[in-house]
Amino acid sequence: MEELQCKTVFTIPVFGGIPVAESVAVTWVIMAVLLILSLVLVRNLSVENPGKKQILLETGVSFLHDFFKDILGEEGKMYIPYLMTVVIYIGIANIFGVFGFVPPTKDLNCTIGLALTSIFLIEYAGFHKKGLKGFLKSFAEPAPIMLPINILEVAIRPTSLCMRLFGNVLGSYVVMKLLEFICPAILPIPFSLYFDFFDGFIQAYVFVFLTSLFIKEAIE
Amino acid sequence: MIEININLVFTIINLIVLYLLMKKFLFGPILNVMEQRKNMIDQQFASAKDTEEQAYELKGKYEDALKSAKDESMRIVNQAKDEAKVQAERIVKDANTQAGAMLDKAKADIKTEQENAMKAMESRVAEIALDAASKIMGEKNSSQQDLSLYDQFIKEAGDSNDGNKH
Repeated sequence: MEELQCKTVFTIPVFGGIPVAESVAVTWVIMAVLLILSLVLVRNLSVENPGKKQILLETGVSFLHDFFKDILGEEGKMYIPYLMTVVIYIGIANIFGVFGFVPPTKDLNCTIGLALTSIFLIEYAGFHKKGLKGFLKSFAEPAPIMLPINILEVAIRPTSLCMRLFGNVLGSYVVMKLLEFICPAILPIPFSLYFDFFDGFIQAYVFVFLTSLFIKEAIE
Repeated sequence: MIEININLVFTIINLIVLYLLMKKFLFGPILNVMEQRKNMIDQQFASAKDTEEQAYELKGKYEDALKSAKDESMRIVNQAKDEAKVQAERIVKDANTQAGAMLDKAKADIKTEQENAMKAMESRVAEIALDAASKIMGEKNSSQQDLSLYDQFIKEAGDSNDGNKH
């Protein structure tokens, strides 16, 4: 049972002690890894004759870019870098359990944070596109009777996003821990492939896919 | 297990920082490079198209020039032919006229000559006749007689000669 707890790594000794959870610390590690990787990989980019490494990198980035571009269209172009960042972050966070870390997405605080930024982005996109009046009006569409449902949606969307991610990662974490407890060798490998890699990437995909769909809906 | 605390704020801050970092160091440069390449390719395509169009234009111009040169040369050759024909005709005509004139002149000359020869012959014949007459008549002819005889002879010879020319 203690494995399910989100441990506090250390406490910042101000204001009577601010606890810093494991998820935040692991997120820092992920950030550092991503930063170093991008610094190393992005060096010596060439327009005319890209190397193998650059082609691979460009293929990956353009794959993600085109994926979001197809959903969002030209108008939502400005939201693409954030969505790409989130999909990379969630993807790595979900498989970070393989490297012996606790996946940050196992912590509810982390998924709530992701969902809150997503809903902020969605509502901001609508506000940015339609202006204050149009934005407020969009709550009464398609009929004024939908007003309460539309308002509820603002709360339901991030909740569903964060709970889906949290539940999946927590569930797979628990299953993996149990499997490792029963048989630490060989047996966890296929399960890890499914729970960590497959499910992890699927959840990352679903999260950003839904977010981009909501943004598209907001800017339509 | 399920508790919401200050780490929520940390997560959001982390996300924003990560977003800014990724945008600056990963997506920014890569998308920039891809954009640049796209522009470069577009530019190259455009310039290739331009060059092709220019080449076609030049080709058309050269073909026109070639055609007009052909026409021009044909025209010059035809003109020269015509001129040569005209000149040749003129030369032949001139030659014909000249030849005709020469022939006429020659005929006239011959006629004059003939007349001269005739006249000379007439006087010569008169002398001979005179000689012959004096030989026949001997010494007794006076100059009076001579003249009358002479005239008579001339008359007779002239009459016979007029009937049978030359």
